[in-house]
Amino acid sequence: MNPSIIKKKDTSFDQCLKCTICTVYCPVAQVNPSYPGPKQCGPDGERLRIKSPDFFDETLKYCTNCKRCEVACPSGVKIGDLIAVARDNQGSLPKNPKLVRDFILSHTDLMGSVATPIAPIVNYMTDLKPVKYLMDKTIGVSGHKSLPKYSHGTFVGWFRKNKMKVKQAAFPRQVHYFHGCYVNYNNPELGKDFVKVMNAMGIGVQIFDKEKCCGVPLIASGFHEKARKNALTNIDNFEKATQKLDVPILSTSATCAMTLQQEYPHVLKVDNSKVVDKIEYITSWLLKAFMSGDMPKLKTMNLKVAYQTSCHMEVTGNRLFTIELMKMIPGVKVVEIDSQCCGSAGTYCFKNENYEASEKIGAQLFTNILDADVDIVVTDCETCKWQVEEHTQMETMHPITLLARALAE
Amino acid sequence: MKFDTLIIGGGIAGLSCALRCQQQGQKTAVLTKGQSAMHFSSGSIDVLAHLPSGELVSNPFSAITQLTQQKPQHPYAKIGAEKVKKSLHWFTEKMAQEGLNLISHHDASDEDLNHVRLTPMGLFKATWASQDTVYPFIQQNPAQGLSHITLMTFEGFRDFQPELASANLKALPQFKKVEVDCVSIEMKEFDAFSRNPCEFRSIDISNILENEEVIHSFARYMSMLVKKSTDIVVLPAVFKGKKGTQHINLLKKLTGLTICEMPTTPPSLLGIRIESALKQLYKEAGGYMLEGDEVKKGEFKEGALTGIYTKNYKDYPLLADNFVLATGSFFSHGLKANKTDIYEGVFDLDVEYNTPRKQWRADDFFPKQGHPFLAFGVKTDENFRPYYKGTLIHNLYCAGAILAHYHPVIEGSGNGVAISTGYYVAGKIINHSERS
Repeated sequence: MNPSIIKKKDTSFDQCLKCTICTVYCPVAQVNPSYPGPKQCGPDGERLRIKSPDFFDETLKYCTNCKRCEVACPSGVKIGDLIAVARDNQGSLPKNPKLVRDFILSHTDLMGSVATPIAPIVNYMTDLKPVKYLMDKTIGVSGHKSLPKYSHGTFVGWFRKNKMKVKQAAFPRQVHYFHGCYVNYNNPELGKDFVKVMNAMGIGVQIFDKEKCCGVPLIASGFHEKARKNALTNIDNFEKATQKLDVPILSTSATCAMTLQQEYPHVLKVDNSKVVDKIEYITSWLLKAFMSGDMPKLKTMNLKVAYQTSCHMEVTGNRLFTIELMKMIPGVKVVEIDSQCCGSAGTYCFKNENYEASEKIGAQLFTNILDADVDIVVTDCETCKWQVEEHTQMETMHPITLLARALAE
Repeated sequence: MKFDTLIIGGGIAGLSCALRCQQQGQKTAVLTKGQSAMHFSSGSIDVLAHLPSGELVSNPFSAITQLTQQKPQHPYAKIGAEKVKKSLHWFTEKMAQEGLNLISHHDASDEDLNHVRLTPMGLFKATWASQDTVYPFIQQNPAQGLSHITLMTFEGFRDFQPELASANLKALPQFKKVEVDCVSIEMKEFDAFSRNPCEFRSIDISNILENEEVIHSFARYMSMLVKKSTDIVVLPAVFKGKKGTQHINLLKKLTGLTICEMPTTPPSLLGIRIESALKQLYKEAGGYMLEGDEVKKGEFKEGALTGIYTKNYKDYPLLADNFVLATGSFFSHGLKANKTDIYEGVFDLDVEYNTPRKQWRADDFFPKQGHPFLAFGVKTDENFRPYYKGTLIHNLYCAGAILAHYHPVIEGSGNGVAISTGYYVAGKIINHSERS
């Protein structure tokens, strides 16, 4: 083999000792024997794929990109990244109607901007049994799942309509806010809660002139070029915005934040080095502020809260910040549920070939949540929220929503 | 963020220490860089199998006195036999609380005795306590009380070859009269793994055996293939978690056979069971697991470690009154080597090792005294506190395989030293905190 090929490739997979510990902690391998597991798909497969792309294995699509393999690996192999990059380089889009589904599920901002103006109709339609049945049989959206509800009107729409840009600028301190697709199209209330909390601390919130989906659902469904384009646009906007106003870029989505910080350089090979240190997940930023005395007035809540650690909160370690933040709200008792994947994994659970595995992955978690006997569930992840609500019927919210509710009048 | 004690390393030493500190009311966290060497462990607790002189040990705790004479710098010598014993009994009590029963043999005056466990090679290793699903053979005569044993594997499973084990067993004079059967089970439930033998490991089997229906069909096969006259059936450890333990009991009930587990090559489910139980207890006590992170830098001030910076928490320091370093030996990257030196992987603490390099190893591959490099480690004072460029770091403690002056492989003392040093430094930290 030509040694220059080896040089070009990332050979960090060579650190793998073949201990198979990653596979022990892989939520998919535990329930789906068709998935060869992270060791085989990551470092083992990479060794072969370097020789010839013919060794690319379609089973890589079963990976949820939860990255629990990377947390478990004692040798520092970026197993999840290896799989994601292989899918980018060698994977192909489905040549059947599932392509339509994957397009719809992954182009969250495009679908959001189409759906939100007519949200009541879209939500009604996607909940109809015959429609669900048809979507399952034609394009492969699991008929067992309810598609996420769109909000009637976007967060950005609300921000503009209420002349927030000017109002927010009046605050003595400022932050940039990367709201993400979920806040914009599905849950603008979370964005409004974020603004409330920031304003209560005397901080104004600025949104970007242009914001694109961070790219995570696109990566998961194989639309890497589109994801890369989004990443370039976002980074360009971040650079311009921070040049004008050098303040932190905060995100209320654990996964968006991780993608902007880590997946851009590692998976999409997009340089974010000029802004990466300014991007921060909200609870990490807030806890530091709170601990240095910069804290809004909070009332006593008297709530028992179950905390569900999403996979990307586990891999970034941000979970610690959210838990400590909640503990600073008077009267809140936090019960930490053993960190496990809920099985949702973004758009993964909506694909009918994954539905069964997804249900099995989350089963123990839902039992644990119900056994915890709590008032509400808190999780940082939007798709964990949907999944937990669907399976436990418990009120599930983002920590920022909890904090907004705890703000003294 | 500030903790009372922050433990770096989440193996058996770090977790034992963390559990004791946390249960004493401290605010603690355990920072880990990946899963620990327990995934490579037999899941039995070795305390002392051989003295440095090579003599086989029968009572591991009373032998510590002789060990101390032969090796005054040994970690057990710093702790003392009584405290070593106390710490290990504390450990087995904790495990029992989590439903994991560790069994040891005792003599007529109730003194602890070593037993031997069977390895996949058909050899016997001395140990102090084994999980109750592992058959504790009698050290003096492993064949005692046995006339017929069955070694069982799964068709296509590469990590246990009963014929190989059987040949080694039959070579022992005590096993001359013992019937040894080799059985291999083939079940359609494992068909999915036939695509690639590399994917057919203990963990893959354990995932399939999570399903209770499969246990029933497993039991039917077992009843068909195993002779009723067998005293015990030994099979590789392929049951995971608490459900796994329940399933072993179900299998025993369905077949009426005495089923015993044997550790496999990694991932070792017997070792994982110990670690999971420890973590569970630790989390229930309110401890924080900071997993998949890595220390990037320590901040030292006047002979004390004041805080650490990590990969995940970047410029946000994790502060603590006391720190524990339990990062393991070479395998876990606690110790590292370049061409001329051995160094400590996190803070570059002072390490005790031989120079020049050719004195790191013995000429034989399997030397009687072991290779010297396995006894290298961080230099510590009588309380297991390390030195940085000659200065004692008074609020940093070391536990487990990072310590110098013991030889886990040759002595058969790995888990024992890990647990007892973890327990001991926790005691030092708690006493010190109470005084101040």
